[in-house]
Amino acid sequence: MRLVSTGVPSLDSLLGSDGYPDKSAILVVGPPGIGKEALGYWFVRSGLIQGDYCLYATHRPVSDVLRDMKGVGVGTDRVPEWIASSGSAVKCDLRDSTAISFNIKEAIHRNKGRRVRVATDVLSPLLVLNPLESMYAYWSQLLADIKQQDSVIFALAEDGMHPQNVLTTMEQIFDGVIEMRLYEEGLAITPLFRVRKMLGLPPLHGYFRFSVTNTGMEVVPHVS
Amino acid sequence: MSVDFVAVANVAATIVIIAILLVGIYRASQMRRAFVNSAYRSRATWSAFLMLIILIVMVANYVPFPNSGILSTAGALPFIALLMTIFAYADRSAIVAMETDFFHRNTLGWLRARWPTAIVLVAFDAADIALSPVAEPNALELASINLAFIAVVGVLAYATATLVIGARRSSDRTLRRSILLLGLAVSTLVLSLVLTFPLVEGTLPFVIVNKGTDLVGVYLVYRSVMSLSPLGRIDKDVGGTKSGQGGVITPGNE
Repeated sequence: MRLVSTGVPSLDSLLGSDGYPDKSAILVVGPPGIGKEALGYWFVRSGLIQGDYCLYATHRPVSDVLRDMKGVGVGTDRVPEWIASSGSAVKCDLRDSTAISFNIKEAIHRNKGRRVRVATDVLSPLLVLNPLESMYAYWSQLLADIKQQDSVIFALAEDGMHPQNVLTTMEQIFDGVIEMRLYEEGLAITPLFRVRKMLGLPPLHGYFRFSVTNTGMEVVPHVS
Repeated sequence: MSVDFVAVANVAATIVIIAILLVGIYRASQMRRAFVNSAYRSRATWSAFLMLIILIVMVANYVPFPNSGILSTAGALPFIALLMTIFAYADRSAIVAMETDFFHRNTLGWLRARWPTAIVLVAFDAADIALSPVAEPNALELASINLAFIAVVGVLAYATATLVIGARRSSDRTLRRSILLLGLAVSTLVLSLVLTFPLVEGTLPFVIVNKGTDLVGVYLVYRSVMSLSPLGRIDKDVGGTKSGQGGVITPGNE
């Protein structure tokens, strides 16, 4: 099985030396503000350096994402192709989920033969704006179409924005689920990372401490 | 031997409040380090700072400052610092609530009124500092103190209303809850100032109202910062290991 670098060397080694499985869909779940996006930025950055075709589909303006990228130490000398609410040639309109899906698939089709990385933060807003049943079918179809090519899709989901059954349902259609969250140990509060499942890998037990700074991201085993 | 229930209730409430504050400051500092998003990090920082100032005010209550003379001014400083901090934090929170409102509405005209209200607050602080060395104020000085008191209660009530309404308009559910709890915390201070004004210090009604509102207010500030992120509990069966390997099962060590 080919693996695709996460862009974070310590996470690559944790996942079995090379990162996410190829032709997979990865979901990162966590509360707002914790640094889920940083994982997506490093994933895209790694792809750009390796010459992969990278697409970032976001409900935010491009300028906001670029500012965020700089904030977590991700260089912006190379940028992905954008589908964004503003600042991009292709617009992301959350009220038109069909257009978002069409534009993602169309961009991937144009780059047939290349390895593709797609990162997106539109999952949670679309789940808020649409019924779960239709979103389940929508994402199942989109992920299946994308995975027909040599590609990895990386999606973010906001914890606390959806009822637990919604997240659990969506987790079923992803090949890998990573959880980022603050945990309490006595009085102390620690940001920890947990790989709930990953295609082709044995279960990764345990928690991993992560830190996001303006120079990069680090994931290390957590000693309780 | 008779037990002074007022004193016991006072001390017990103070201990509980100080414990909440110490835990709150510690946890808010840790959350500040964990957050990547600047809006969340800023809220954790402000909350930690606010709780620190409240702690200083509580400790300062037990310092025997004189009732008159220049040293009495020092006794007024912690409370003035608390008012300024609450106002500044409420201002930041109101603006964050407006920024996260889909329609960017100017809640209760806060953007226009924030500077005039800040000036009112500073004027009260100046009056308080100027009049605190006066042991027995005359009628004019007493009227100034009462007017300043009404102005401060008005400013804080206005800030409370802005926070509560602004929070309801925010599109960020997490910030909405946090800002709403802060608004309610500020409202307890307003309530405390109004309800304790006619009461005699040291009496049972005073202690109940004063410490009761303090307790609720401090707990709401604590909940405000803790609501910024849901906290998980580590499952012992898959928890961190003592080996330092984090319990990782890889093809090499399974």
